[in-house]
Amino acid sequence: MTESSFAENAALITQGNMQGLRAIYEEYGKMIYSSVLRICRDPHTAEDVTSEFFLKLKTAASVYREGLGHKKWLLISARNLTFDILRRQSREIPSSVTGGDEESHPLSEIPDSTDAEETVMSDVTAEQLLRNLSEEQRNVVHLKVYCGLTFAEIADVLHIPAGTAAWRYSQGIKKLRKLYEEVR
Amino acid sequence: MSKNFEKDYINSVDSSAPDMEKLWEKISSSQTQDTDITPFVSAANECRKISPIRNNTFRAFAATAAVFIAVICAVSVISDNDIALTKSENAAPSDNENSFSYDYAAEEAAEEESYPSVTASTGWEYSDRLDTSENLTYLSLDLADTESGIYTALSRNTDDEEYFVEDNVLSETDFFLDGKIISEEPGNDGSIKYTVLVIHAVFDDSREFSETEEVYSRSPYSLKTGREYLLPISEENGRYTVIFDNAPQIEFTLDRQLVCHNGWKTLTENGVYLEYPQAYPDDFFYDRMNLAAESSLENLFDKWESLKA
Repeated sequence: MTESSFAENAALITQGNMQGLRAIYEEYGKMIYSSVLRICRDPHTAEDVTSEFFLKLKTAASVYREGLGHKKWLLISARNLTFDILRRQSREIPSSVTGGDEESHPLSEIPDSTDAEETVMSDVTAEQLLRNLSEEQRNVVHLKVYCGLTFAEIADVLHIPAGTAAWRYSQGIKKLRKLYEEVR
Repeated sequence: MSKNFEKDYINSVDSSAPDMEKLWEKISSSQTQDTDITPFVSAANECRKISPIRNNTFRAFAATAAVFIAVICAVSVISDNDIALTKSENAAPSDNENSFSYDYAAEEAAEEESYPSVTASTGWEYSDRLDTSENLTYLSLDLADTESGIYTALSRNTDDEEYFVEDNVLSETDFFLDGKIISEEPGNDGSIKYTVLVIHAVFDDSREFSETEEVYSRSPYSLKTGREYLLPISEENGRYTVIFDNAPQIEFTLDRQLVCHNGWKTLTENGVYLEYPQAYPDDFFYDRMNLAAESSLENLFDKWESLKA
């Protein structure tokens, strides 16, 4: 969805026309869900957050101004909302998600890279291969490959420098390339 | 591999999503009007604070009647180690995150004002820093971490055995790229293909640059990943190649000084000698390296422009 068509859909929402919300949901619903899931690590919570996200978007659409970067705005909003909800539930937010030390994963249900290396490689999905990366690399690769953000936008979403985003991406892809060739 | 992986990854993530139609039914049937949209307002404020200058936004610098130099500040890189490049400050948004009466027009006007009328020095704020300590060595400089080795072990390109002559290099330069090396991989002709994150581009014709560009070199003086260089580039059939790659390229330290060999007379005129490690057995530039101030680039670009005119 281009920037201008997003702005048009946002304007429709502001006018009470739910076709705008539907269009944005169809385009970005899965992107929001997958990004929220990466933070909260629980599919049920991610569904609830995604639902609340689009409910709030009915009102929040009026805040958006064309030119801000709609994907970036949606993803930062989703992050903010997820953090709010996790705090509300008195759950700890993984520090790696906030840009902190990659060693602490209090809510992680994803096996670390050592376990992943023992996974049977013949039936490994691309997403499972991603678990061989550090949390920081996984986040950047997800935003680049799945969400289609530029390094500058990734930097804004994750609060890291663009050069760091590019570096983590290149290191992640290099590792994945090697693993992918072993599996395929 | 990368395209297959990307496709597989996207399919994998898509397939792990819940029943989106069912979720939509829940959303569309809800009568709740949720007025607490703080996360969205905060996000909008964040997006306004950080607004990188787009690749296609450039300012033309009128130098002569026929030649313009355009400088693109493609990405504002502010890292733990790097010094911030030119960045204009946005007008401060309202402290009340729930306010919808924020004057967007005033902020847009403030952004316009932060870019003054064009001069040769705007768009890239050069540092004047130059370390003149005695017995300066390359390894004592403030340099970005890298995983690259000291040289590529490629066969040296023997096509250009001639001695480095600044004017010759400048005459062949189509544009300059100031960029950080993200990755490297073998090219299919014995060269190395580098992916460069573009920070500045200096050019005098109509060009557009992506966030990253691919640049080729056959030099044993490897461009190290994580490091920033000023690369003189020639373009042929859409392929960007580093000019005169039989010498170390102009490298930026983290405190914005330039490491370059003394063939770059314009840069090293007021530079200082730098002790540099021998990069590979046949390296004959290691004892000709200098440290120069970033501000000397202005003279280099002026000279390039005059040669091109």
